[in-house]
Amino acid sequence: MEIALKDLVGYMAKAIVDNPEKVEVNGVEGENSIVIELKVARDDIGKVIGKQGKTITAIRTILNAARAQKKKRHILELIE
Amino acid sequence: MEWIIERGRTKEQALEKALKKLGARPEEVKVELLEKNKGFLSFLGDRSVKVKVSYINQENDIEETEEMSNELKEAKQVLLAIVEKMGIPCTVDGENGPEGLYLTIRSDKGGLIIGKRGETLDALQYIVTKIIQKRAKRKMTILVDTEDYRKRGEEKLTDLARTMAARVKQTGQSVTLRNLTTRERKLIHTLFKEEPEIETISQGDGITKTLVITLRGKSKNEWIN
Repeated sequence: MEIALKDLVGYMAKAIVDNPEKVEVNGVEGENSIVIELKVARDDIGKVIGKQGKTITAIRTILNAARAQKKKRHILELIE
Repeated sequence: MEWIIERGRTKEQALEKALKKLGARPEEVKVELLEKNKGFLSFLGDRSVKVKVSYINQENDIEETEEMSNELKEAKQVLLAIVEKMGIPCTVDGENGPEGLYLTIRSDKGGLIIGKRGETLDALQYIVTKIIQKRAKRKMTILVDTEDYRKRGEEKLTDLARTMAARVKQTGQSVTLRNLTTRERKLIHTLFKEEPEIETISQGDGITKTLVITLRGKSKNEWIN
């Protein structure tokens, strides 16, 4: 489950950034929740966030729909 | 087939239909306006436009067509990959339309793909557009739909806009619509473009942009603030 969500985030992030090789996705699984950490190159942070946060919001929305079929809550964090 | 005659509620709509039937892109054709019925109550009545659409020349730019189909193929693949990674088995159909690429998702989890008020569908469309634009290095429109959600949405929005316009005419007071997408605003602008009494204005910026339906020629000061 967690792997699939990571894969989903990684796929979208890699397709959006200029430095796909620097994209890293980590999942930290807790009892009731999963924290997905997305790491991209410094120059790409703006791209992942997008104008007025549109891109990161879209990624979160898609993640929410994917997660809706599962039990655990998840949080997507963008880190440098 | 070199030309076709088609009817629609607006010129754009008739053109869209004709292009679909011809399988042509807007830049390939010449459009002639044949007749125009303005119903006597324009927001209710039978209002139709007839256009003749014909190919400018028969030589198709093969290279460009190939490029288009490559982009279409890529867009289909990207969308399919994302939806499958969401854990939803599906297939994606695609075609070149007058406005851009049209992608349709088929699955048995339509509700999940659409999301609350279409937000998931919008997010998918946004991400796929972003990815394909980056790969193709140019701007283009990609429309993602499933279970005719967008088509139904457009009909609903058209109804709403007409109802609002009727109210504006009756009361003389402007109506403001919020939370519309760029496309939705464009649809309403187009709808009232030739309406003598009604004017539509986009106001504000970015995600807080609103659309105001007002009486044509009403002083600007009355609707700002």
